[in-house]
Amino acid sequence: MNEAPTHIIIMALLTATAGCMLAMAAGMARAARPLVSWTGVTFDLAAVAYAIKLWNNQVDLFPVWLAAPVIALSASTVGWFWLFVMALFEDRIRIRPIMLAPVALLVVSMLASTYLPAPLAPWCSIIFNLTQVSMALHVLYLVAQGWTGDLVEARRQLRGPFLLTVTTYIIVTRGFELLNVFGAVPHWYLLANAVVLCLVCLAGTLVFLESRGELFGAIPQPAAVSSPARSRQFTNGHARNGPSQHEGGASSDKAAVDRAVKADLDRLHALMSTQEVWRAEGLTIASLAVKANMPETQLRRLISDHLGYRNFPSFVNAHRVAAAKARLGDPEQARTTVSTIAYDIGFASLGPFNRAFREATGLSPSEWRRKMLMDPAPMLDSTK
Amino acid sequence: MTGAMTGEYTQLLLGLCAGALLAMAAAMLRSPRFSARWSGFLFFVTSAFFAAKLWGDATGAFPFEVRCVISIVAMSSVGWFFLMVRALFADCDDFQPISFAAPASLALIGLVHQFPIHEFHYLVWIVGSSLQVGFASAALYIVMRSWKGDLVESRRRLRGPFMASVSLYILSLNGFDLWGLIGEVPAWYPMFNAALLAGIVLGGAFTFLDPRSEMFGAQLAIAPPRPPEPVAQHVLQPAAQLNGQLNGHAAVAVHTDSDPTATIDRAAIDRAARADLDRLECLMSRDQVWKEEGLTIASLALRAHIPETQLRRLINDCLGYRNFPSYVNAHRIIAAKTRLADPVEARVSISTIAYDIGFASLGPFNRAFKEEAGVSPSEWRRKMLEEPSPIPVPA
Repeated sequence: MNEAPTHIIIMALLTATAGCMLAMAAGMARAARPLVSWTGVTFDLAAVAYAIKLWNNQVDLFPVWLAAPVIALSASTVGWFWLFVMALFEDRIRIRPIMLAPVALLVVSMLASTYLPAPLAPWCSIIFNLTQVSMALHVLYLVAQGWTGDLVEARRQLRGPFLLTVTTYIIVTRGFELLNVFGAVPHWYLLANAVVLCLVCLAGTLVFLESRGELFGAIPQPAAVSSPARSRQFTNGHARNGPSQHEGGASSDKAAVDRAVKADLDRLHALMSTQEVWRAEGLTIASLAVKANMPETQLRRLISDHLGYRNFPSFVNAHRVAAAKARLGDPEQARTTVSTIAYDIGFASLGPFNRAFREATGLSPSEWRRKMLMDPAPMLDSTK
Repeated sequence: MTGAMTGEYTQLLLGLCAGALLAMAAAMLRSPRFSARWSGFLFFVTSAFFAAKLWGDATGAFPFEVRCVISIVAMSSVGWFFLMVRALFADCDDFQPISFAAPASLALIGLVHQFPIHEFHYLVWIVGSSLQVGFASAALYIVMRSWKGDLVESRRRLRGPFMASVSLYILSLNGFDLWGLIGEVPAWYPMFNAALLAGIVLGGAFTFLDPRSEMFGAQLAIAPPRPPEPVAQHVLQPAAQLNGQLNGHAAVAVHTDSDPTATIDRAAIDRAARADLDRLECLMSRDQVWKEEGLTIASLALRAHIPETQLRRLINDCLGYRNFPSYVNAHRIIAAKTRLADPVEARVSISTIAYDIGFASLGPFNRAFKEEAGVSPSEWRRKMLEEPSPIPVPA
């Protein structure tokens, strides 16, 4: 391989690394514990700066006013990593201001080694790299020490292979940087560093990220339409943030909220099951909210959090299909056409009715009718 | 800014896009729903190929064969996008086999496009572009159609910005492609396009990513260790706590009250966990095994006759502790508080108490006590002995 492609591959790997860590910062911003969140985000952004700095070493584009802050931020990467690991693994730690001092030392020594004249610069560089090595060693110690007592399964698995890789990476690259001070870095180091860095960061996304629970979370099984007062707590992926529903005795305001929710649910049930408002063709959530005499937002939350439906049509259709099943199974209505029944229960046309019916029962309406009328014993509902 | 510099910055932006898209693909693999997991993963991976293709166009670094493969894969990305939108916004849980025609047809056109048959080249390009625009518009239509009935709050809020940014990008991409057909594309276009893509991708990262909940979830509400005396009433408590505290695994619906439809195996698991919890409770509260200095999770598991992994999960998921020392110390501190407040033991030194309840030295005891009670052991003792009515023990 000649010189030009190597140069380009290094640049591609470094920019991809930076993108990867940007995405990681975006995800980390949503961590529930604030300390973990801000140390994580800062560490990720510093890693972005580190990749960009290495990239800029290749292309030499940045003017000093841009290069200096990037270098300063990138110098602190290992320091933030150290704080982040402490925040993540030591559950009760508080970061005291004094703990930022080593991070500041990294920044100062790096800037000094970059911008100071020759006799001082190598010493600063040595201080810079040795500080990082000791931080990495401390991380190793912390990780090993808390290992046996760790109860969070995913975190236990993380301790071994992943953190071992990261700390080894840090220590080895610092070794090369020290060699660099004495001018003895092998020519393949840049490419190797870019490859390993990129792989480690991608592995990091596999370990640390997941798709957002609220959007991609499991679809809860909706509450059956016939049982009104039963309020289940469906959380549509918010579950991780509210695991404390059972703290000792529920406090009194929580009980009041529960009562209010129960009253709302009863009102909704009266509308749906007794007055059968779902028979209205094209029932919207707005009109249901008006009828139920509650704000639309509250109604949405009620149906999603307490009844477990992720969209309004599936909630309405659950009632409609239940009614359709009853009528299709009734021998007295055996001569009523399927489309009449569909219109009666609020579907505007046959297609959507067939689709909704098949989704709920696995059978088409006419198949269902045939089965029910052949076999007089009421068929078991296959969806439950 | 010189032309060469714009080129470098374009490459930087595209590299950022590719990296972030790969990160998002990795995150999608942890989605619990099959349809969302794979359509999301493939969409983000193929999009990373798309960014790589633009990068290759900008640098000319890829040899011919590599460029062909990348273009073909990149072409299918809009098809996966269509499927992901259905899974994400329309709650579509299983795709019909015909659905996969969307990415497949696009990849096929991408393949045909690689053959330099001159008279058809233009036609193939037109068909491919219109298919892409068609799938993207269909996806936007799905987002819009299911908007009003959406009950998931964060997803409702996402719909507007999502549609706007996707439309904007399609417009920019195709607008400039058409511009290229009729005239000369301006020199700033590649960089503009890359910047727009990078902005959208980062917005997507903010929207679609979560830190992994098992690791980064909120600190659970900890079930406080119970005072050793009463037996009858708290036997029931652990089982009630079982459902609520599924650390991180709780992306699944959490139903709390005694639900008649709770499935059998769930109930069986609950019973088994409850028996284990009772045994653990017995060891900790009655036998007071925490008095033993240097109690490890392995030795506790041995005594409770529970496999170690299961014991870990029990203490974490059902009792809410994130590490073993804090679980053991919770018991120790309760005992320490009682003894420190006892006027009869007012002359017993604090270090004696600390050794009695299983601490190997005074430092860790002081730290643990202060964390729990907010005051040091001696301050606590002074307070309690000055004021004879027992102040309520903060949990």
